[in-house]
Amino acid sequence: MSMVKVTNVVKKYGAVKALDGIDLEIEQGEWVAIMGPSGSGKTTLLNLLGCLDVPTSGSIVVDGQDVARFSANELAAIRRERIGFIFQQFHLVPYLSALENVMLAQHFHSMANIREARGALDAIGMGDRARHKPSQLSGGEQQRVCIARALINDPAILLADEPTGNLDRKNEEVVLDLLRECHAQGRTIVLVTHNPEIARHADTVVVLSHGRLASGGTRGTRRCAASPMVAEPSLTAVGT
Amino acid sequence: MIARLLWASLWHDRRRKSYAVLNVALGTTLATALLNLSLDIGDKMNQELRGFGANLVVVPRSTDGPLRLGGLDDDPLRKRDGIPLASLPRIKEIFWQHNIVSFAPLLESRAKTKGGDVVTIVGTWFDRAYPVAADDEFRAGIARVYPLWPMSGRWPDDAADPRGTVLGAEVARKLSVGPGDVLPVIPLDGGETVNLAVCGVVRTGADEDERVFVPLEVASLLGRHDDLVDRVLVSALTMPDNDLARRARHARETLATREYDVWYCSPFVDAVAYQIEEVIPGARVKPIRQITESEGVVIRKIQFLMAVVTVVALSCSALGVFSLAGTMIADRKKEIGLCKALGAGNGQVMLMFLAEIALAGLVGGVLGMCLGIGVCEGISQKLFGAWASVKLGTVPVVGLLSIVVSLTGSLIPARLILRVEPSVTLSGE
Repeated sequence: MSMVKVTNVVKKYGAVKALDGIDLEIEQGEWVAIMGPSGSGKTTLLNLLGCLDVPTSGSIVVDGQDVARFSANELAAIRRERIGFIFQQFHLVPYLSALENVMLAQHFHSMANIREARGALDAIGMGDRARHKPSQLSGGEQQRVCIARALINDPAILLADEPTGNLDRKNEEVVLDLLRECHAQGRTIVLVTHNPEIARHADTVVVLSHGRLASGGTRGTRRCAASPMVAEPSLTAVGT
Repeated sequence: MIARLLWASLWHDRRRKSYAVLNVALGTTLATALLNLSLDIGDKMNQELRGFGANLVVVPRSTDGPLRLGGLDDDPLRKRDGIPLASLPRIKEIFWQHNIVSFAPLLESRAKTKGGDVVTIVGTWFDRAYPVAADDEFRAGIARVYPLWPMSGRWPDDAADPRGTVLGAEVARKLSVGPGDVLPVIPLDGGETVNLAVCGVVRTGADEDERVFVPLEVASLLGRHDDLVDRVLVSALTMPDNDLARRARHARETLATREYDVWYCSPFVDAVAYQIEEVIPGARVKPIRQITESEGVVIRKIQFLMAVVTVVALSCSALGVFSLAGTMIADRKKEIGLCKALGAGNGQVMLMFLAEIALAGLVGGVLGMCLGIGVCEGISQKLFGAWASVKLGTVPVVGLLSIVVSLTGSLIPARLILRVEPSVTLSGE
């Protein structure tokens, strides 16, 4: 069953085409990694999939709804009901505790529930840091709080933009373990990364180049090495 | 959660929020002070202006013709009519009894001096204890009605100076007598000489300068009975006329029952006059309009000036909040973007920010209200030498004003929230 279907999507910023005729289908429970060099349109695509933006043309069907022409408030409703975000920069509210940051997502979704929020933090091993402010947490801990916040409303799709980009090796592993766990629970994950080591965990790797799909797009096109970008030593080591 | 968010945000950004609080507090301080002063100034000014004398004259209903303050022209009816002295306590029994500052009966006669000059004698009370049911410590007399009359010497003591006299300046000049002298006078129709002990000389520049003010009892010795007086000067605290009062003055019978009740229960000069007429049958009470109307004009002008200053102060506060809110929103774009990414609608985010600003405004309003009451009392002490009566009704008004000022100042900047694109503000690229 298709969770996201992107058809001939074009996104322009003025005269610049950030995405040019993208077709992509993501199945429910699939883990998709989007790769490509800087400026290839990865984040733009992720923003469109996450209903943070709308395409200039084409259609994007998320969980059965074509969101391409949705209003700002309709997009917000889809985001809070269906999507969880994990950011490279964590984007935690600095003056709220870890617990309150998780509760913030609950608040916008329905109603804040301190027990559930604490449970979400416990689940990622952050229960003892619930009262800490982001500035009192390490990068890895902040990212775990970010994951707890993304998961608290039980979203159908988890979108992660370079989730390990600011983490050391050890924390990278912790975050990847959490993502693997989500995937094992049957959650759909779309992850943007530069790192082939991380991409190898995905079911599908989509490679973008100059706003176009260089390879991938359908399930099973795994660890594609068609793009020059993915011909990096670390990726070649992954194999197909 | 909203409360947690608001508190956390206020505490986190406390420096900027305290500027907003201070901004609103300054505006509301001025608004509270001026609003309370404005509401109180009518009473205070009225009390101050009462020093200029009576604003009501009670005369027998048969007395007609133009009335001059102190212009006690000979009136043939005066011989027959008068205001019974015994009825005067009733003036302090009307609905607005507490607004009656004082009153003084006047009984006029003529007498001759030893040199043959005819002088106008006015019998009155100077300053006598006159306990009434409503006020045990009430004092009546001309010195209470006209406390600001320029006086050489002193007012006679009603109890201690049974022949104590105040001369008008012109009489004193003509007769070459002054405070401390004795002025013998004889009734026009003959009789016993009465020696008046001159205590003071008054110069008003009006008819009073031609009069000799003596105790009421002395006037009876000079040929008039003191159970009836010619007129009574009343000094009452009144409020400036409004449209209702003006309508009532011209056609009271056209007022609806409710309007009549409002008019009757308001201290308009005509309403007070009407109530005195009700308790003293056969009396006619005439407002001295030069005084009452000029009071109204002065008070209205002061109140208008205060309203202008209040509006300017609150506008300045709103401008300050405008600037702070603009900076605050610009600095917190990422947070706004995050809230939107988490699924908050534009309205929700805007409400969150406006609630923060409204809360800061409310805190500023409460602070400003407390400061404003202090400032109001300070000004009142300085200007009137009395505490201002703070009106409780101003509390919700000022509270509301502070929120309105905060929201007005932040509405335009809040529109920036609509333009925040989460995809842009959260973009790592």
